Amino acid sequence: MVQYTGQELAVDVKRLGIKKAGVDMYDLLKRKMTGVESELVDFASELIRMPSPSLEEQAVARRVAERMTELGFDRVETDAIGNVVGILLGRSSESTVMVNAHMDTAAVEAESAWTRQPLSGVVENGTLHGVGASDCKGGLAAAIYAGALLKRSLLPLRGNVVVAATVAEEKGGSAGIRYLMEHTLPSLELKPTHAILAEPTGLDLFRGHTGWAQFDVVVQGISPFEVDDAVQAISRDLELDPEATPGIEESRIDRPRFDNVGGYRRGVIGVSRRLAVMDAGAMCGRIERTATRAAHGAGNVNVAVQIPKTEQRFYTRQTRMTETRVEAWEVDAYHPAIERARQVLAAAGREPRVGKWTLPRLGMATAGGVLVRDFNIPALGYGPGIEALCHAADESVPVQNLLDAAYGLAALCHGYVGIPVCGWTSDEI
Amino acid sequence: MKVLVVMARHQTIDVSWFDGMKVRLDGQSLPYDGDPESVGRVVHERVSSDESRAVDAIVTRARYGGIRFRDLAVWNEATDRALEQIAPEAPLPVGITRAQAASLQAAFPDLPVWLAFETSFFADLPEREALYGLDPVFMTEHRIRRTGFHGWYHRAAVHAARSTARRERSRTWSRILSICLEPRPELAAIRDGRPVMVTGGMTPFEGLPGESSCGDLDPSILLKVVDSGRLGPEQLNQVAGEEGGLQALAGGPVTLEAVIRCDHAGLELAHTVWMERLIRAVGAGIAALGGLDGVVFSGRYAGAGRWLEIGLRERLGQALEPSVMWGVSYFSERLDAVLAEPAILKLMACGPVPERT
Amino acid sequence: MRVLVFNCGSSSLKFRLLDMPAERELAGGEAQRIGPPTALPSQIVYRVGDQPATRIEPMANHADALSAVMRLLGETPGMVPEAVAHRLVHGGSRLDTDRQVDEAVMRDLEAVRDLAPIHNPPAIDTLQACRSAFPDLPQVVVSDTAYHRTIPVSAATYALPRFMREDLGFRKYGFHGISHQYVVTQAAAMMGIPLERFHAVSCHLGSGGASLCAVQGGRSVDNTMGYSPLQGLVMSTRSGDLDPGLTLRLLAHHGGDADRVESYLNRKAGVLGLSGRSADIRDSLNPSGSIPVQERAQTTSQVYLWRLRKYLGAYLTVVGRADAIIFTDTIGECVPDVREAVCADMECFGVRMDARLNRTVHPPCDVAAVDSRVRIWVILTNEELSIARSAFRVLAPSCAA
Repeated sequence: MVQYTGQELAVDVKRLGIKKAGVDMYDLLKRKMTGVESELVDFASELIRMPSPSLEEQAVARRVAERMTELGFDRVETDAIGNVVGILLGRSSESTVMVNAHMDTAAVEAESAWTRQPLSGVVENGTLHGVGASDCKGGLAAAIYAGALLKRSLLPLRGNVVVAATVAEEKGGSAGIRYLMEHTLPSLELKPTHAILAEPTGLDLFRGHTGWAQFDVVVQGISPFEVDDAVQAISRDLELDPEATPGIEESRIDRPRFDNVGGYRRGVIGVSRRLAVMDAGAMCGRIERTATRAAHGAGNVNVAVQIPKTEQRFYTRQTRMTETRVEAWEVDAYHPAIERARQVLAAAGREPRVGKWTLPRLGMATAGGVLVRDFNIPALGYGPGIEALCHAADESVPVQNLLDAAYGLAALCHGYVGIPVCGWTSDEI
Repeated sequence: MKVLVVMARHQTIDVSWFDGMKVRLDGQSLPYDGDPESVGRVVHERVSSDESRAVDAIVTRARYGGIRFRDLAVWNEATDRALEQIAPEAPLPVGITRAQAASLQAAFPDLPVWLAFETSFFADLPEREALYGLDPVFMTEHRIRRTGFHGWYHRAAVHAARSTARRERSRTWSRILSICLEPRPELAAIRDGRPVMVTGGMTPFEGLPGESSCGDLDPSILLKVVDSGRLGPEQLNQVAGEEGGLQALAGGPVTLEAVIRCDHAGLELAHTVWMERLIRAVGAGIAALGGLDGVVFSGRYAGAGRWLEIGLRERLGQALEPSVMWGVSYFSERLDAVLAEPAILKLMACGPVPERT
Repeated sequence: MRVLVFNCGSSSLKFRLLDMPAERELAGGEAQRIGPPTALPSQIVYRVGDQPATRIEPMANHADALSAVMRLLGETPGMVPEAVAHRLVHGGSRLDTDRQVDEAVMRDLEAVRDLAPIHNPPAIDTLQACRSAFPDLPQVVVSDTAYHRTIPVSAATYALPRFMREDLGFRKYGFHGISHQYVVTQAAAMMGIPLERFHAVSCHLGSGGASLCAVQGGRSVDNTMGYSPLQGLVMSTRSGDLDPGLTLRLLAHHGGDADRVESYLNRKAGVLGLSGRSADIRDSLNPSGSIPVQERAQTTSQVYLWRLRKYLGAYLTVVGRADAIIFTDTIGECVPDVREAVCADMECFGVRMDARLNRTVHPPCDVAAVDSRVRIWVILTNEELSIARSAFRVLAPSCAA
């Protein structure tokens, strides 16, 4: 008689290549992926080839809506400012998970630095290249196909899944997501209970980032010399400000702009600041105090600080006034939404780390600030690509990352609003 | 009357033709990628158009139909809607059934596709057996009910018991224990052809431990693990369903047959635990029946019943009165013939092509 | 030897003083409403000899209650205890035998404190207080799980991965051991069968918890309760057995809140959940009210009795040639309908009840028909006496020395 220990038996069987008896829910999702891998990559490539700078997302929006319809989303809507929403309806509206990705891309500033055309959308060596590959067209394509995976799996949903492709993220102070939350989703009787941002996280779970805001320090007086002196003094002190002020992670002072208004000399200093904790309103007051103190000895000048408002004209010709600011946000590391996400991804065979975006360049942001701070919705990031490649030459995303993201996003959505597959791990009984 | 029986497993599709009662014309195991949406295409590629024209209906096995489906059901929009309605009861198998049926219908648009539900055998399980110790309003609302999962094997066991009783010219076996020896084994107590007790529960996790499923557990165990934060419900579902059972006790994947035979020391723990659980299930079944006329072994490991019979005779010889005489029967055939029979009977009763809308 | 037995509840402390080995009860009672003040005062209801009495005593915790009981006993000559025995509901694998308390036992008690979060902490606190106040008084800890230490691995093992069995310690412990041990010993004695050759199924059917115990050679070989008292029979407010998939589904339904599900399954399920009105099975066996209420009561009693019957069949098969079925505790002793329903139509196991005897029973009493191979006993349980016996067994050798 052959004597086996448990350990030896396990090894022996593994060598024989015996697999588990059936499919579980996650195997089913993976198998659904098998049929659509190339379709997903082609779609992401197609999106990259369509230029979509902020406020000019129309072509991408049209294509996204078409593809959502083709893939069987229960409802597909385009709102007044051009956001596209694809919905999988659950059995009740008590819970809704929203997967958000923006359709616009950062402006290509130095095309010469790119080794491939920014709009090439080519796949080479398993990597998809082009502007928006990581930020955020790869994530957008993955989110749409995550919805398709859930739809095709026929796994019943307790709540709704909303895939929201938004406009004006890169240059609109999150105007697209704000309009979506204030107008579009309420009109569709949808209230997200969880949000997932399909922004680049390298398939880790991100739970927040610092904020940033742009401020204009306006110095006005009769004497041009006094105004110039004041601007110089203010600029100097503001340069030193971050060292003395906790919470300022990064600061940039633009070269001042001068003009004459109604017989007055006016100098404007552009200040951009990344904020760890303090919100933009509080920072505005802080800059005003520093500027006023600095200008005190420079003569008779008025100093005011404001967050400039600009009018955004969306591709749908709607207009809205927006501020160039993004609030810092974070979801607690032990928040149940994070815990659920970790559990679900672990069950799906993934082991994400929990972290935060570092936002390597000023001006980068996500919709999380709006969702978490203004609408009190727990949000987390989970998407393909890495943020270091965003807003930079040779932006790219590994194809495998795209595919994994679609699978992971489908699993996450099911974890939040799916009817749990309890007691069944296999179709073999 | 000819029917094509399709039984999709996770890596192969078993396809058989039946002409009249239980006459198998052909039987093939077709490899496929496991995607339920591929079933129709794969079967169609194999079945030539001439063969499909010669068939009157397709019958495919469905895992779960709850108490909604008590009989074979022809696939159509109404059936799909009804399945969608009961999907929360068993999300995974119902979704797979819907996808398989739709793909078969798409591949064979002119043939009726019939669904043969494993659970229909248990649709009339008495409430005392079907209910758990919970609020019945809550159970109705959330469709919580014991259903059992190897209905076709148990149905076949009833026929096998009748045949054996006839052959041996013994009295009718009205009280039988049907022991289905599949990777997720199940024991049913059947009185006059109707189940009165079954070890399978609302899901296949309950009852006897399977090759990878845990079987009966103290509910506190799962709650304690989740509460400790070590594992989430989805992970625990996988542990209980894919990493538990006999493989957990044997230290690696193992078949039920090997555990029953237990011809090496590494399987000792799995063997004794499983045998003790079986003994308890047998005792509970006899109490449910108020006696015992016969035991029928079925399933892919039905042959291993011969080892079990020895143990059962010894244990029951102690526990039961000497006057209790019980026989043993085996159903070792493939399940496709069991599925084909009611379909052919139905075809003979209803005419060749039933309504499809 | 005068052995004082303590049996702790969450807000009560039952005590009984027994003269051992004569097994003569000298005093007994219960300290009630221990804890923060309530509308009604905390009090000790007791009797010394034949005199019942009640004494109002402020008792903020179990230590206060213990002091009050000791004071009370000290007031009567010949009532001062010579040893104390404490009941522990869950001894885990560390306290799987009855032991005299010493430093090692105290460490083991701390290790098992959380295994039964409602029952163990007050018992351990009482024991600690007793040890501090009366350091020279020998003390013994007797656990409900100790009797089930003989359950073989084949019955105690859950089919779970090794890390759950070994690292997390999930195994069947079994409960109600003190009661099962008592009635089994009594039945064997009354039948004149040496305990080591006595096979039986003991049915402890309480108005709260309930369990069956399979007994071979006087030893427990299985118990319907498992890792916790939640598994097994349908009980007054506990669900008993549940599909593991259903437990997971309940967890999902309650947003992963395991405490809530545990509370629901322990306090709002079982007979109470099924009937929707009463946790007492007697109310469902004799229902009154509207037809829907009666129908629901009918379903409740059917589910309750059916589960009981299945387990009885299972354990009769496990035990082999059973000598007896034993019914005890409130439902087992006082509700003939339950005994009758579960023993009906069990002739195949050699079980036949005398219906008339069953209705007119005065325990201890054998209610089996004359021609029944398996005897059916109804025996009043006496957990305190069982504990005192255990304590005496532990202490007698050292006393003798």
